[in-house]
Amino acid sequence: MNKLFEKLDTKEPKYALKYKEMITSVARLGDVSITTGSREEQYDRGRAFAYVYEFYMYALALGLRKELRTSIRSAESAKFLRLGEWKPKEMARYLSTLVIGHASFQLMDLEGADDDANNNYANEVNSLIEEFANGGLEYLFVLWSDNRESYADPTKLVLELISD
Amino acid sequence: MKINRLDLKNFMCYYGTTNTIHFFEGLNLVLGFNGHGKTKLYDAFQWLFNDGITDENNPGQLKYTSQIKKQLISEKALNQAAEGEKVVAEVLADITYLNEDYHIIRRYHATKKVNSELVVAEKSFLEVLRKNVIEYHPLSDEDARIILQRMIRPEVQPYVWFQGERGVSGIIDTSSREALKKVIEKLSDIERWDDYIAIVEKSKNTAVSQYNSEFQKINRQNSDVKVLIERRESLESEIDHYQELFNQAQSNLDQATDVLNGVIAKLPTANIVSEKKGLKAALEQQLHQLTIEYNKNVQGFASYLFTRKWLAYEGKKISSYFAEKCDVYARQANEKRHVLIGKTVRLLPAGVPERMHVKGMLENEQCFVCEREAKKGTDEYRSIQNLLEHSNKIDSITIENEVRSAWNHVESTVQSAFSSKDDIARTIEERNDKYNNIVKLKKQISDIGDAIDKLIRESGVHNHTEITNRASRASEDIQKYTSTKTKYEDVLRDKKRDLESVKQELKKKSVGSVSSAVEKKKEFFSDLYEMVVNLKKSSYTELMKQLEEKVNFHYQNINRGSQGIHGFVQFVQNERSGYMPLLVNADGSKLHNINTSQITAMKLSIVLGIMSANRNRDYTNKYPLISDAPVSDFDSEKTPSFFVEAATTFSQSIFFVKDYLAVENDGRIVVQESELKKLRNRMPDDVRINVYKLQAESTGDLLDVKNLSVKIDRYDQL
Repeated sequence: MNKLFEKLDTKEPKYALKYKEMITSVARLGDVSITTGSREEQYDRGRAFAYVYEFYMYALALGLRKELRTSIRSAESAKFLRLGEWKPKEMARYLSTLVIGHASFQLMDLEGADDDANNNYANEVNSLIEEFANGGLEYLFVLWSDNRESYADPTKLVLELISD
Repeated sequence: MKINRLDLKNFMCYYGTTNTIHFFEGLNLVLGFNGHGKTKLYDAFQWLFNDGITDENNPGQLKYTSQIKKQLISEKALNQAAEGEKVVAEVLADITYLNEDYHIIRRYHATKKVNSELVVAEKSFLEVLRKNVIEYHPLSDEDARIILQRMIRPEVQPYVWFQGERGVSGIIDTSSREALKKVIEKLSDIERWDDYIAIVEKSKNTAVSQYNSEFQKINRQNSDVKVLIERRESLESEIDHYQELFNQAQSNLDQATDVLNGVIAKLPTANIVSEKKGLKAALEQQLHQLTIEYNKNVQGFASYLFTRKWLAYEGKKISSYFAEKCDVYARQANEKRHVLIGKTVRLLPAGVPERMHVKGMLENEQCFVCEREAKKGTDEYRSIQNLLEHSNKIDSITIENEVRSAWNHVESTVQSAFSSKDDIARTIEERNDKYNNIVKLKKQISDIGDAIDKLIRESGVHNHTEITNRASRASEDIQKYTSTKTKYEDVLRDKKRDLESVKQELKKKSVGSVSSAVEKKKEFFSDLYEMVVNLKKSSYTELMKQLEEKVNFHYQNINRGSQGIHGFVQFVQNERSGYMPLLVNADGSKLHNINTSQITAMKLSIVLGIMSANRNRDYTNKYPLISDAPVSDFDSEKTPSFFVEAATTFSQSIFFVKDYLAVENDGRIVVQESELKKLRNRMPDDVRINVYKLQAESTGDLLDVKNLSVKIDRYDQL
C-alpha cells in the first residue's frame, strides 16, 4: 500500500479553471517555494487559506462529507502542486486514504502489484480526488457566486463544512 | 456704530450674489451647525474691517488677504466660471455711525484662465461710501481709512469682536497679574494720569535744575562744593540706574513667582493627566494584543481545519468506505493464510518455514527440519521445492501491516476530530468574548482620552514631566532674580547712604543760600509730583474696585439659574499693583475644582465689565458685540443667561452659535422654537431678538467644496 501512496504523492490533482477566481480570492495562488513569511503571516495577508492546496484539501473534505463528485475535463483544468507536497502531510494522507475507500480496486489487489499496476491504481485515486474536490468546489462556487464578500469569511467556510 | 445689513457675494462658502442678513438693535442670533458657514460669516466682519480672516492655528490672530488669496472666493463660483471670467468676492456692510449711513465694501478677485488656472489679485480693494440724503458717495482713501478707525478703535476691537472661548482667552489671560492692568490701561481713562504725571515731572525737573544751578552759582568759588555737586549728580544718576535694574529684577521675580504658583496649582491635574495617560497606554497595549489575537482567530480560523483537525469532522461516517475495504482485505488475507497454514502443517509439522530458510535448504541440499539429505533430483529436493512454492503464496500477504497502519491513521485522525463541533463553537465563543472585550477597551480608551483632552484643555497641562520641568525652571528663575534683586538692593542702599552723606557735606560746606522762591518752587513741584503719582495709584485702585463690581454683576447674572456653586470674581492685588482675577467663595477663600464653563463665564463677564464700567466712553452703545461661538462651553441654562446679559449690556449684539438647532429624521435642520421662546420669555420686552439659520447645501457630496453654498433663512422675528 505504501507503494500506492508513493505513486500518489507524485500526482498533481487538478481543479476546473472556472474556479480559479474563486480560489484566488480565498487562497494564495503561486509557487510555494517563493513564499515569504510564516504561515501566520500568510493568513494575515487577508486570505482564509494560506495556500491553494489547503483550500483544495478543504474542498476535498467537503466533497467527501457531502458526497459531491464532479468530473472535470483536462483541457479546462489547472494543476497546482504535487500531492506529496501538501501539508500537513498527515491530513493529506488521511484524505487520500479515505478516497481509496471509494476506488474500484480492492486492497488485496495491491498485494504483489508491480510499479505499473500501482501507478494505475494511483491514477484512479487521483481522479477520484479530483472528482470529490471539484464536487466541493462546485458547491462553494454556487455560494461564492451568490455572495462573494460573505463567502470569503473563514468562519463561514468552516461552518459550511460541519453543516448538514 | 450699528450694523444694519451684510451682503456677501461669492465670499468663501457664500456662493452667489444674494446672501443678505439684516441686523437690528438688540440680540441677533445666527444659528448653524459646525461646517455650515458660521465662522465664515464672522470672518466677513473681520475681513471687511481688518483685511484678514480667523487664523485657526493662532487664536486671536488673523490671516491676511495676501496669505489666503483665492480662499476668499467661493470654490463653487470659481468652479463654474468660464474661461477668461473674473470672479469677485465681495462683502458689503450697511452701517450707521453718528447718525450717518455708510456702505463699507471690500472686494477681491481672481480671473480664470486656460486649463482652469487662476490669476489672483495681489490685494483686496476697500471702498467706503457715505449717504448724502439719497445717494451714497465714495470717500477718498484717506477719509475711508480714518472713518474706519473711528467707527471701531483698534485697541477696543478685540474686546468686542472675538471668536469663541479661545478668542476670549487671548484677550483676558487670567494667569498673568499684568493682564488686567494692560486691559485697564488700554480701555480706561487711567492713561490721562500718565499725562499729568509727565507734565508735573517736567516742571519738577525744571525747578530742581533751577535750584541746582543757583546753588552752584553761589558756590562756584568753592572747589569742595563743586566736587560734592558732581559727586551728588553722579550718585543720583547711579541710583536711577540701579533702581531701574532693581525694578526689572522685581518684575522678573514677580513673573517667575506667578509661573511657579500657576504651575504648583496645576500639579494635581498634571498627576491625574500622567496617571490617565499611563492607564491609557496600558489599555492600548492590551487592546493591541487582543486585536492581534482576535484577527488571528478571525483570519486564521480556516487554519484550525488542519491544526485542530476540524477537517476530519464526522470522519467516522466518511471513512466507512475505506473501513469496508479494510474488512474485505482482512477477510481475504485470513482466508489465504488458513489455506497456506493448512498445507504447511501437512508438509512441515514444525510450522511454515520462512522463505529464506527454504531457499537455504535447496542450496545446501538438506532439510533443516529433519536434517536429512535432499540431493538435487531426489524426491526430498522436490518436496523442499514444493515448500518454496507455498512459501511464495504466503509472501503475497505483504501489505497487511501497511493497511493496518493506514487504517490506524484514519482512525486516530477521526478520533482527534471527534469533538470538533464543540471545539469550533468554543473557539467562536472565545472570539466573540475577545470582540466584546475589544469594544469595551476601545470605549474605555476613548473615555480616558476624552477625560485627558478635557483636563488638558481646561488646565493647559499636558503631562507631569512638563509641569515638573516648568516648576524647576521657575524655581531657578526665582532664585536667580532674588539674588539679583538683593544685589541691587544692597547697591542702592549703599548709594543712597552715600548720597545722603554727600548732601549733608554739601550743606556744611556751602556758603550763602538759594533764594527762598526757587527753593519753594522746587519743594512745591516735588510734592506735587509725589501727589499726582499717588493719585494715579488710588484712582487705579478705585477703578479696579468699580470694575470688580461690574464684573460680578455680569458674572452673577450669567450664572443665574445654573446648578452648582459658581462663587464670585475677586481681583487680587499683588505687591507691584498688578491684579489677577480669581474665583472665590463668599468668605474670600479660593474656589476649587473650577470647570471650563466657570472660567469662560468669568472671562466673558470681565469683557462685559470692562466695556460697561467705563460710562464716559460709552463703549456698549458705540460698538456692537460680535462673537463666534462664545457659548460653546455653556450648558442650556447658562447660554440664554449670557444672551440676556449681553443683549441688555450692549445695544447691539451679534452671535454665531450652534445652539437652538435640531436635526429631523429626514435630515432637515430645524430651529428649536420652544427653546427660543424660553429665551424670549427671559429677555426684557424692549430687547428685540432676530434669528437666522445657516445651512450648507451642495448639489452633490457635502464635502465637495466645489459645489458648496450656504442657504440663509430668516426665522420669524421674536
